[in-house]
Amino acid sequence: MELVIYLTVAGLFFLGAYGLMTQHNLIKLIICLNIMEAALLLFLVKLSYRIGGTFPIIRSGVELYTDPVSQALSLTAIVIGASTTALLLALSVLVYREYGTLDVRQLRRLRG
Amino acid sequence: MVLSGGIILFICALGTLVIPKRFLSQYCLLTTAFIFVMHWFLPQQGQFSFEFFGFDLELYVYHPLRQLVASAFSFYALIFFIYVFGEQQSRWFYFLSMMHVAAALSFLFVNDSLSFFIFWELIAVSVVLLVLEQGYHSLISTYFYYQMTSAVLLFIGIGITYSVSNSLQLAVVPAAYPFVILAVCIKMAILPFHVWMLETYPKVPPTLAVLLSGYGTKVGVFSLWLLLPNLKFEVIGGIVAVVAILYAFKQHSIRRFLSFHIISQIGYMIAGIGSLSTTSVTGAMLHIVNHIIYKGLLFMIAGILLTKFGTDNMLEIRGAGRRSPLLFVSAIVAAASIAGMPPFNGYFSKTLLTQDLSSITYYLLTIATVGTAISFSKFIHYTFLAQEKQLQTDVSLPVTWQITLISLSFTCLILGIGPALFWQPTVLEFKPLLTSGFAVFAGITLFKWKFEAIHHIAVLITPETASVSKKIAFIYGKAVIRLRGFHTGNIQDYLLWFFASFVLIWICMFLWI
Amino acid sequence: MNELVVFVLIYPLLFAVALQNRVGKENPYKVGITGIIMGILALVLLNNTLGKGEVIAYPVGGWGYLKGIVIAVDQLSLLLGGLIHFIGLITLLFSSKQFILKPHIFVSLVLLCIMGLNGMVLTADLFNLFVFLELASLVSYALVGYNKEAEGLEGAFKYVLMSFGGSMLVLWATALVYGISGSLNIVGAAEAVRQAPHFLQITIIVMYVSGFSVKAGLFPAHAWKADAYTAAPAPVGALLSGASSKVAIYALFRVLSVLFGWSMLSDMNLGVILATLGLGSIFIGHMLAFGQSRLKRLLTYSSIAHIGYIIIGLSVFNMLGTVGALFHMVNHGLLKAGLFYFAAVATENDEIGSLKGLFRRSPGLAISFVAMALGMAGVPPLNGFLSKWLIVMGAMEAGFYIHAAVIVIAGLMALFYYVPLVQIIFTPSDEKQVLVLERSQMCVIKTVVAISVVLFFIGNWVYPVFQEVASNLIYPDGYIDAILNLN
Repeated sequence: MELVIYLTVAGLFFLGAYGLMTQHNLIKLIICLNIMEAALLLFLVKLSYRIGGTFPIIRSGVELYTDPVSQALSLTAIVIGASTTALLLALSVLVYREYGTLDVRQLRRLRG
Repeated sequence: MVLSGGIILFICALGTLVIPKRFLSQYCLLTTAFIFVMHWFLPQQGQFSFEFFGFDLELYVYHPLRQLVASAFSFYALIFFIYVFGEQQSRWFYFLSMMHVAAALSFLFVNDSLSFFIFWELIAVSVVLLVLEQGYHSLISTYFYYQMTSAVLLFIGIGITYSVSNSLQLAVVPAAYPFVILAVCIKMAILPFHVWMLETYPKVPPTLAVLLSGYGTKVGVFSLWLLLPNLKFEVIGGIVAVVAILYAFKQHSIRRFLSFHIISQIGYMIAGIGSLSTTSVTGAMLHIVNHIIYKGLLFMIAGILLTKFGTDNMLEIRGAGRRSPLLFVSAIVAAASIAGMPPFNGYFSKTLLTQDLSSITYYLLTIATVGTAISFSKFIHYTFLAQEKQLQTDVSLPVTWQITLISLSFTCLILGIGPALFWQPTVLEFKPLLTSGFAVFAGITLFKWKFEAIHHIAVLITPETASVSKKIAFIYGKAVIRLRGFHTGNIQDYLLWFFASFVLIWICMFLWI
Repeated sequence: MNELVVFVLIYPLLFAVALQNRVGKENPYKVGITGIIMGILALVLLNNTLGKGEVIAYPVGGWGYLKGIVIAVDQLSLLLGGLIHFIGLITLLFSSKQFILKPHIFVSLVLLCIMGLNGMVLTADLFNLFVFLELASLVSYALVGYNKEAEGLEGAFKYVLMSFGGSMLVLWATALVYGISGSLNIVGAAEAVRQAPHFLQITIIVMYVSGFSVKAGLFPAHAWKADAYTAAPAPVGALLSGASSKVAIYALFRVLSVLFGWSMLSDMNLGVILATLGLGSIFIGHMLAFGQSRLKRLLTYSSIAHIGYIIIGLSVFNMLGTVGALFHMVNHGLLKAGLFYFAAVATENDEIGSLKGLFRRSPGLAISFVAMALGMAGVPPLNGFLSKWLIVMGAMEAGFYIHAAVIVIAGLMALFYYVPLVQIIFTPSDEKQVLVLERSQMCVIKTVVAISVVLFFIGNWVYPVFQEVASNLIYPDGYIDAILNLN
């Protein structure tokens, strides 16, 4: 079961990377970035998971908790990903205004 | 603690940036005079070393030969500053020429490869800045590329020496020989690495040419002695001397002609140093000294002719001798010195350096002497003796120029007679006297008799060197364009490189272990 | 006194917020410069409290190193911190009079960038490192596209796409370390990571190397850099290429050296791989800089090449090379910042052709350029030569002969594009108008030149300092002990 999750993580990550290299629409590229990030979030959540564990708030009578640290990490990672996504979306609006297209292949004024 | 003159001169050079402008020439004159007196009359024994950046540097090590060449360097600096005394030059010119002299002087006394390398580059950099300062920005590229190539090769040689011997010793290890030999060859401008010299010396203003001709190549010869003390290569010197003469036959521009003669004279020095015998090495060092004096004199004459006649083509000047006897006499003295005619200084050092040579080198050098005599007969003939063309030109010389011409001519004579009489009586033996006298005489006769034929043969057997550097530049440019083609500006290509390299590195590390 | 560490971390945030009120909006540059000067003072104080070879470890909130975040300061962090602050200071000084829209936002972005870089340098926590890395990167994206011109936006977009991939790899590696060891502290995780299966170790190393190499602009991931820095306003280019790429390299080597130790890394042949990447950077950078028509693009390619020098110096894994690389970080940061400022004031529209006749129009600027170009090419008597010498000697000592030779030859390749620039500058042109600079701008450029000359001559005093700093990186025992002593 663990192996399946790890393979899913790697698969999702490289799916995102593959999409980054093959898709041409800026919005699709942003979605691909989010897929890459989601893969890592899955990985972080997997790290926190304990079989039979409950949510990490200390109560009487409960012995096994899931790991709070990596859940916190995934929360932070979500925040960072969200802000990057927001920035990217803003950039793509501005890029559309300047270049009149959302095709990444047209963004080639800087080269060589 | 002993300070070498070069270091003192560096500090004095900083002074040129602050003192009032009208005292600049006097200041430079006085400081160089002081340095000359210090080197010539008060040679300091001992050494001076200190730690710099984790390495032990030896900035000053006494050796009679180092001191001898240093005296000549500082004397020449003194003469140079007399020569420019009346000229209007900027503050930067004085500063940079002081730096050039200081770097060359400090270079003579170092005994470790880090400071050796620093001064080696400083000599080149100060020349580049001087040429820039004079407004000849188009000339710096060839000079700089060649000099830096030489510095790069030297650096690699030093690095290999360091990794093998774990010390900054000057004498390089055999593994570094190819790099260091190439580096020194470029610095000495021996054929076919002479392009930088032809691009600089004949094209810069005459004043600057006078300064450059004194130090630029001589430090290369000197470093041969420091870096490769155990390599026997005297025959190469003989060959270089002869081939450069052949090229010199063809030249009509005086300064190009003199440049090829520098290369030929360097052939003599290489032969002397490469023979590894003490007498010949001493002779070669003396030849450096003498060469600085007479070649400086010749470049001054060329510069004066250029300023007075507006050209340095000897076929166009013609007959300058009758209107300026002083110029004529000093040209005769310099030509006699460079051809090795007794009793001028060239004769003495050449005799000394040919003492222990193998016979083949000796014959090559004798041929070169005949060739030198031939080509200088041509120089004297066209420039000073032939039918006059330009009658209107005013050739009265300023006092400073007269002083420099007279003093350098006298130095040629004194350095020839003095040591021959008092120090090394062997050179007064019958055989060398006869040989050199005969060689010079043969040269003059050959010139009178069959110069046209000799000229033709020289043109036939000296190909114009194919410009390898241009070809390299072309290939480099092609490669750059090809490489630029890969950078299409498409971010997805770049992402592909990145992820591919990630996977590749992962596989590499995984397989490697 | 240890609370100063926290001050160094958060003061940029305070000042960035303070800039948004009325006083800040009226004199943004003054406020920003005051902040950075306070930061520098704090660093100086920290340096004074820090004895030789000591490490200050500060557990934030008193949580200890297993669960809490630890900030650790040693000489190495202070050196990098000083570099960041200095370049940040001259960036603000330089752009103070230059026309930039809404300067208070610009200054607060620069301050936030400094905060992110500072955090990367000071923290001993892997996830915290990632967060600060992302903070610095986010601010950098915004700075690159600051002027909202077409090229700036394009550069920023490319920068984000590449850089986000790198960040994800760093995050993945961090998560792996946490999964293996259950600790996010570098020191706390080290023991478990060293005993982990080989496969995982290699994966972690490769992820860190790839991730940080994007941020630093190392060879296969270099191409975004030219686009982003060309399009960015010149002071931003100076800040990013001067400080941020160096900090990425610092973070990579800090993490790897504490997690695995030098000996283990060199057993894994990491040095050979990194040095080969460095070789690629040198060739690509110097060759593509040749024949560029835009000055900032040329300078960026040159800084890609210099990243190659630094990587080679560090990856030969010996003292000389490390000292050389650290010294080169400082030298290159300084000189490249100076050159970017030069590009900002001397050219029109960044075209190299507009440099023609600059010597007549502004001799001081032209001479400064010659000095800085010579320094970049590694010609004495400028500091670039010393660090190049050290890196070459280090590489020779470690048996990296080809790499050493390439670094030496690279000096020549650098001249191939700097000499034509100098020739253009000294070519007389018809334009007679004198180029007048703001006093602070000229002062910054001259200071850079003066420091680079002085650093050569006081090299003897600088060397022991760098030796100590390098030993902090190579032998992280003091660092590890200081953190372990917290619990």
